[in-house]
Amino acid sequence: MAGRLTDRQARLVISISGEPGDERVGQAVAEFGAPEAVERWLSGIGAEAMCKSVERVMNSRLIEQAVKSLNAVRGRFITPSDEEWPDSLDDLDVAAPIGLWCAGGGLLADITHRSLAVVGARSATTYGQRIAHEISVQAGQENVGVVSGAAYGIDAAAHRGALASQGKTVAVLACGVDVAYPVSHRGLLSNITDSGVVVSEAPPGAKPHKHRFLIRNRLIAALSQSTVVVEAALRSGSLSTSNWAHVLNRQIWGIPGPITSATSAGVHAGIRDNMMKIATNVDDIFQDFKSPALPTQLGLLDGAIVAMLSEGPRSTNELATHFGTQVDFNDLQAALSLLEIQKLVVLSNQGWKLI
Amino acid sequence: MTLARACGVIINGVEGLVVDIEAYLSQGLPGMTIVGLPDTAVGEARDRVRAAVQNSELSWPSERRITVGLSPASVHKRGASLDLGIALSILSAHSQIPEMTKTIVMGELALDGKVRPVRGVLVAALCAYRRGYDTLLVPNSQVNEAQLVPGLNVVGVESLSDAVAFLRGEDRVAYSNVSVEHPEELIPDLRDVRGQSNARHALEVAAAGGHHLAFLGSPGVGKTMLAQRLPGLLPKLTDDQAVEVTAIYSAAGALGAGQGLIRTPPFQAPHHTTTKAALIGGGSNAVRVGMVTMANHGVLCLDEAAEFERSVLDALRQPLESGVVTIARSGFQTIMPARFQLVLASNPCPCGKFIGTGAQCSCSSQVRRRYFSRLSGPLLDRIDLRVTLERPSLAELDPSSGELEGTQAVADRVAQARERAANRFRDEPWKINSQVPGPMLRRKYPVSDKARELLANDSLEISARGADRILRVAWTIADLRGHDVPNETDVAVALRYRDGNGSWQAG
Repeated sequence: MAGRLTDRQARLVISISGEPGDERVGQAVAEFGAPEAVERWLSGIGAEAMCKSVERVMNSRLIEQAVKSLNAVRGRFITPSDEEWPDSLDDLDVAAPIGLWCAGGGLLADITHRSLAVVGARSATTYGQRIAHEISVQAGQENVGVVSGAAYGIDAAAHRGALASQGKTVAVLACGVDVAYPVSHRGLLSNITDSGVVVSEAPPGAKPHKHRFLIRNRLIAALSQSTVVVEAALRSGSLSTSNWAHVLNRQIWGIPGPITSATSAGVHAGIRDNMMKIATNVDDIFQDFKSPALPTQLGLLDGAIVAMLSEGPRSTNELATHFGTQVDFNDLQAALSLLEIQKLVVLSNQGWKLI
Repeated sequence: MTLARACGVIINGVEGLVVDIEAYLSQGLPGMTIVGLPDTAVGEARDRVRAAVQNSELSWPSERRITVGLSPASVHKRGASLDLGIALSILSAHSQIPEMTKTIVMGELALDGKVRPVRGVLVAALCAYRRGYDTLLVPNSQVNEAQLVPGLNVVGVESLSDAVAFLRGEDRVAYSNVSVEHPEELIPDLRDVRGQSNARHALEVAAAGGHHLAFLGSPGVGKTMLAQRLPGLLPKLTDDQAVEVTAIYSAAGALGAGQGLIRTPPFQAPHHTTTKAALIGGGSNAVRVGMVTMANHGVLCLDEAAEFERSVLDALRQPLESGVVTIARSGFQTIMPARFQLVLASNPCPCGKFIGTGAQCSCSSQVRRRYFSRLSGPLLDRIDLRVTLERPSLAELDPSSGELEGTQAVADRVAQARERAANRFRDEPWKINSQVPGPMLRRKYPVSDKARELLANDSLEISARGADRILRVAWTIADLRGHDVPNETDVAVALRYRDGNGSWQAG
């Protein structure tokens, strides 16, 4: 590869050369930009391992192979300059991924814009799987994306629930997007790619090494606004996801189980230590997603209504009489509806009043 | 001549049936029988007719055996409207008057020979006209009614001897084809309603889109007063509609003497003790018109809706759905038009005080729930506009608080909005927003993106059917405000009518 690399090419090289989540790599990219960082490593500046790795990648057919494998699964490599790049990843700062390998019909940013991470034990109980399924069914109905891994147990139940309710779901893998792990989830992963996305930091062909799972968990936490831990033992990978969610200031929900259940012990500990909020039903989890989506800018009439109501509750007719012929009744009704949706006013038994 | 024939009309539902009245004078024991399924009233014609003939200085064939046959013989005949026809057929058989051709006779006889008014004269006139009869003899007081059908020679008769004189060709009848000016119908004006801005607006929207409407409010707040003003806001009836409505009133015997064609959409407000048969129509041998049919092309107002029998309310579902009532009995089936606009008015609870803070209400929560459960889901589902009425404040009631818009100004806006809608629907079977089926509404008439986003707002928790109702109303509001497509403010206005303060959620 000759001449100066583009940002995308440089990130591709780094993504293949480096190990996901290496903060020194992230630091260098943040400081110098991806193309210059690659040049620096090529000329021997920086961590020795990285210099060697980048040189090996540049002088081999590894890039070609990765792109070929990516094309075979009709995948794409996205970088922060792409529209599909979720802004929520920026919260990871230097730990943010250099680029993401994606496969599937959904757009990552669209799905994760309003999304819930559903994580939990691989050795889940039927109770845990049922709850995970229920949660993601409701997510599908409420147009909230589901983010999870692709493991047995809770992960699989979460994806299946989302798919069952025609929802969108994202599987974040620790291996390459062309690798089915576990193998028996090949069918599930292929269903996810129909409308959702399978995503990984590691290049195609990468093996599911143990440490990559822990690194991967930070992406699950970062991609979604809330994380719900359905079942987790005291030493569980899911707790690493919830730790990341805590660091990233995301809402974390814990689903309680019987206190005698070892698979719920990690969740219970999290609740006890105020790491998680206890969810006593599925609706609790979705209350965060029911925020008003309308601008809160107040118009002239809105302001006048709010000023009037600040003196005390008024009925619609009293407001109409107050404004008289200056205000069209249609406009008044519309303004009240919009203020109500913005949760600025509420219709009580005494009439309209401020919240 | 010992055999003669006259023709009359009987009414079943809103339709007329021409009945041949044959009289046969034969040798045998003197007496008179009427055959052809007469009911008691028709059977008693025997005595009325004889007395009337004898008191009209005409001769009664008392030495003959008289057989009167009513055909078609298999259809039940009821009422006294065939009296005059029976009398004339006998007189014709007795050769006192010439044979009648292409003439239909309607009228009840008094014992002294006077002709009394009967119901269904307009229906008979329509029936006569369609069947090619050219002359109609009716009680004198009902000439106006019969004359609403053009192209028919209408003869008003005061008495049996008038009828005989006319048929003999004597120049004695003064009443045929007299044109009478009809007084303008009085419609309550919207100007009389003070305050109640939201209810006035709801009436305007209801009139413009043909939406069914529900008022919730404590006693005396003006629910009925408001409902009565809806017909005035609706467009005047077209010629065809006016004849249809007037004929229905005629069939029901509800047309006042000297009343002309009904041009204002009718208003019917049955009391809450009304039975199902009275509301829908019914009867075992011949069908009487129900109040839903009387409200055809107009307004059916159910005041104290929650006090009606549940089965009576549920019987409204078919007419609400299809615009007709089908009454089937073992012997026949009748279809009557019933395309009306429904206005439900109800108290919030049996004591009527559960409004505002509801502090004075003495009903238990269970009683309140049960009260509303009568207004079952399917019925309430068809009601697009739901309004909670508040007691007007003293400031609103103050007559000096400015001149309020009257019926005419609002009706003009309604007419314009309806024109917009009719223009949009010119190639469709529906003409007003309330008639657009849900799937069509979403497919063919999309609203603006922002408006759709507003409806999708999660905090509103709108069901699919609820969204259809809101969209229909939003279209009407857009029509009233002159928008081509509803924008988000139109939808926001429509949101105000989805549920009056949550109070309409039954149980």
